Amino acid sequence: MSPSKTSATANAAAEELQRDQAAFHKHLQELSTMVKEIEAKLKPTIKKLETKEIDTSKGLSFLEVKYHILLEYITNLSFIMYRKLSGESIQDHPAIHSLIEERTILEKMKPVEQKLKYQIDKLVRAAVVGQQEGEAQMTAGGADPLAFKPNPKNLVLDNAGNEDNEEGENEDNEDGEAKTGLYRAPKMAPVHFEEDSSAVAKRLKYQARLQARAAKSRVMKDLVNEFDDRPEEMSLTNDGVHFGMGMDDKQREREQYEEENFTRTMLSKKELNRLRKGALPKFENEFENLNDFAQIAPLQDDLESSEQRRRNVLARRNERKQAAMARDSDDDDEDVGSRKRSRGGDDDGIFNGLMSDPKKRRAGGKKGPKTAFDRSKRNIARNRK
Amino acid sequence: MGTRKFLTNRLLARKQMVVDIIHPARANISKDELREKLAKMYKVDKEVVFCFGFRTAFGGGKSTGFALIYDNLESAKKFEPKYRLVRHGLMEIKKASRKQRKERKNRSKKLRGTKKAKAAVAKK
Repeated sequence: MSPSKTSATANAAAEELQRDQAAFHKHLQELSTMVKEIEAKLKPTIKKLETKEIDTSKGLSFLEVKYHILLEYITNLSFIMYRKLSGESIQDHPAIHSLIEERTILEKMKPVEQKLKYQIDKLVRAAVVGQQEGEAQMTAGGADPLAFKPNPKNLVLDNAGNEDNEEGENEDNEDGEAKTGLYRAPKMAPVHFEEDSSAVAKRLKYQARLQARAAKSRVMKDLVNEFDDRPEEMSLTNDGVHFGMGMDDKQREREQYEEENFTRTMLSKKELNRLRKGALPKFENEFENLNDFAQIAPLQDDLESSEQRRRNVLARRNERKQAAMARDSDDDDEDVGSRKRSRGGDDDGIFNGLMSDPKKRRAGGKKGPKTAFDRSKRNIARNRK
Repeated sequence: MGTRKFLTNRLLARKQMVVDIIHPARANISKDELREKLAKMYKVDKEVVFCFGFRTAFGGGKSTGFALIYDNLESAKKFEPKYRLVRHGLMEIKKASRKQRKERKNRSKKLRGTKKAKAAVAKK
């Protein structure tokens, strides 16, 4: 090797050594500080143990074993490190055998510890809780933490704080329901959820549905074909053939899919039979759809009803005005709000001016036609209607 | 005969199209004849033309199907599905006879898991 290379490697080695030394130094410092902390924390516990303030007879023997083995492991490990530092070999040293033994024991203890975890936690909690609140109270209340089965008494204790609130609420509810006397059925079965249940939204949805249905009708399609500038499209297959019940659209969709994706779809036996046997010649169905106005009729109805509603508002306002005028005038038989009643207007003919109808509402003021003059006036008004 | 929806597919080194044939007197046009006609139309070899999926419209006289024209035979062999290559005689799929395949399947029903694979290897 060239001298420059050896020096380079030596330099690299020296740098690494320095880095290791720095890290080691830091670790040593950390170690010493941590040891001091632990010592400080453990000293009072050790004193208590020596003076027998804390009773260790009720501890878990399993955990004791764990501590002992851990201690042995650590001591053996430190011994081996000491031997290494002083340069002696550690091969086939009995300490290594014991290390291996202890390691295996610790690893076997781990799953057992996992299974005991629940019980250990309960015991610890019991110890802590017992110190804080005093044993007698807890065992009497039924929240004995050493008992592992569910305890209904625990539930009652929890609600002790909320009971007052709940009573208040119940009273309010009962009062409210007693006032209105309404029985509200319990909601058990699932029901379709409507986001907008307002009347406007419902009407809009209904209208949209009607429009969609009307767009599919034959009349609309013919109109569109007549007035549209687009060139007419003929499908290449099924030229003189027509399937009813929306099969035409399905067939068209299938054709489109096949040509776009360059595949052929597999048809079930039912579909195949329908295609082969259920095809009707196109011209026969021209007369079937002559009554297609049924599909667009609802649209017309809907339009009329919305206009009617608008007219109703104005009409009602006019009626009220007329009523006010009629109250002042003689003719109180210009009936107020009788627009509904006038539809079934045969009652007029029955009495024929002899008697005033007792069912009809009096608008106030004069009771009825008392003189013949009034009666004749009424007749004329009625006949004009 | 007309072609529609013509598309040059550079990724698969081919041209793909929808073919409509009008054959008033005959029942159907054979794929072979169609390949010749397409090869003449697009000035390619007959062997790189593949056609499939022909359906005759109801009432007869008209059929619609698909056709692919590859740039060269190698790309055709690479990209076409095996059954179409077999149709043209460019490939042969070797299978054990039907009876033997079924016997093998019934034998493997008695085994479970990796033993099936081991049995398969042992048989070969």
